[in-house]
Amino acid sequence: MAVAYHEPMLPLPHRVRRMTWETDDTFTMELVAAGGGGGGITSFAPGQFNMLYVFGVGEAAISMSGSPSNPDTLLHTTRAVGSVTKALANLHPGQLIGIRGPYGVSWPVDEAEGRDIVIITGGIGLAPLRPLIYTLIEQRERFGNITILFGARTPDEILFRDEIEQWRRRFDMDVLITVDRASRDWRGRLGVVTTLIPQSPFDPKNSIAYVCGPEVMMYFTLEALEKRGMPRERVFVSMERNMKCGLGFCGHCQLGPKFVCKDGPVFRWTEVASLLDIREI
Amino acid sequence: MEQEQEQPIERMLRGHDFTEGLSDEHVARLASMASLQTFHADERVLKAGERADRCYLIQEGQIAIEIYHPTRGGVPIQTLGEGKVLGWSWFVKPYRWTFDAMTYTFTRVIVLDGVRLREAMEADPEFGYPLAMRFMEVCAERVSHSRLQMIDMFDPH
Repeated sequence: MAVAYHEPMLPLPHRVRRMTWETDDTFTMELVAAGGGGGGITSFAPGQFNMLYVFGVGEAAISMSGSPSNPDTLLHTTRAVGSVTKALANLHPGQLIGIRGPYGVSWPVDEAEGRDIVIITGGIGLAPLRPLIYTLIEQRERFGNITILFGARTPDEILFRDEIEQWRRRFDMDVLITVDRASRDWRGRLGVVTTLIPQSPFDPKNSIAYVCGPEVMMYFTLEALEKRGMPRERVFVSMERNMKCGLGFCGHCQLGPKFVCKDGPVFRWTEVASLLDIREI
Repeated sequence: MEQEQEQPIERMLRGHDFTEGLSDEHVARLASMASLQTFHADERVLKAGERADRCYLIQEGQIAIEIYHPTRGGVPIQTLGEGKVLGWSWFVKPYRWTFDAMTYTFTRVIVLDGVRLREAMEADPEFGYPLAMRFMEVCAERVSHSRLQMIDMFDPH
């Protein structure tokens, strides 16, 4: 019997085409629809996520990390920390998983038109922002200055290192990197990512900020952005909570009056600023 | 280390983030206590325990604040670049540096004479208070950043 694509709780089979280890504990899966004759995810927007199902183990919500212009090949980058992501990490090319999605609210690209853009991220937080960066580069002429501020725990934990190097070589965007700890061998910046904000080349009066990382990082990032003169209304964050259904039915990811899976994961900062003290259910 | 002379220090001071909002009179007064200095990469700027008698306003380059560890040698804690202030121990008893500092790149700084500056700040609160507040901000920012580093926010465990 043919299965309708829009059946929201039914995972669609996808095959692992490639596994790439980005750091010691973080990997990128390249997935294609099983069978090759369609029936997979046909489009997504930057910042959206899929539910990845390892048969017999469970599901995990993982953001797309590839280009929205190439949705036939789905990239998901995650860290092997929980039972599902550890099972994903042990998959090999050719193996099948199930995918439901895409879900969630995406990064607002049109709102950035004509403005400077500052992307502030740390650690694995760069993964949900990479599709946005691809989109901004593809539509470069629509925007003012683009600045990417990236923080990592150590130099070895810098995600997408080769690609960051390519972005740094571009003449039409600024990319600043800092790490929290390093030996003297590291000759780059040392300190938390918020230290990059005061002197970054964006005009806070006409900018938009996209922020993704641990909540504590985002909190101090907002503080630094406000100090720089950036209005809260133009700061967008991607939140993470324990998502199960992806559709706003089960309530696992409830954050006050919001469901992160349905109303987010991307929120305007003013929508969630007062909700950050609410713990996961 | 090379000493530079006869540079327009007052103009350079006005261009530094630290003096933003200070009156022309106060900037001119700071300039009377200032000199310019450059460092090559890998030069020591400060050594923990030595007398703290100056303050650096970084114009260009990268300086690492380090702490000495008996087996690991100099352990870098934070780097400071353009627009930042290095050194506040000249302002607080016992006026000894608490950390080391090394340049990572060629670095250009404005050096303030910490002893003269401290005396001038104590003698004239109208000059001293706004400066003290600025140095307080520098200290608060360093403490805040160090706390964020301590919590290891990118550790998934």
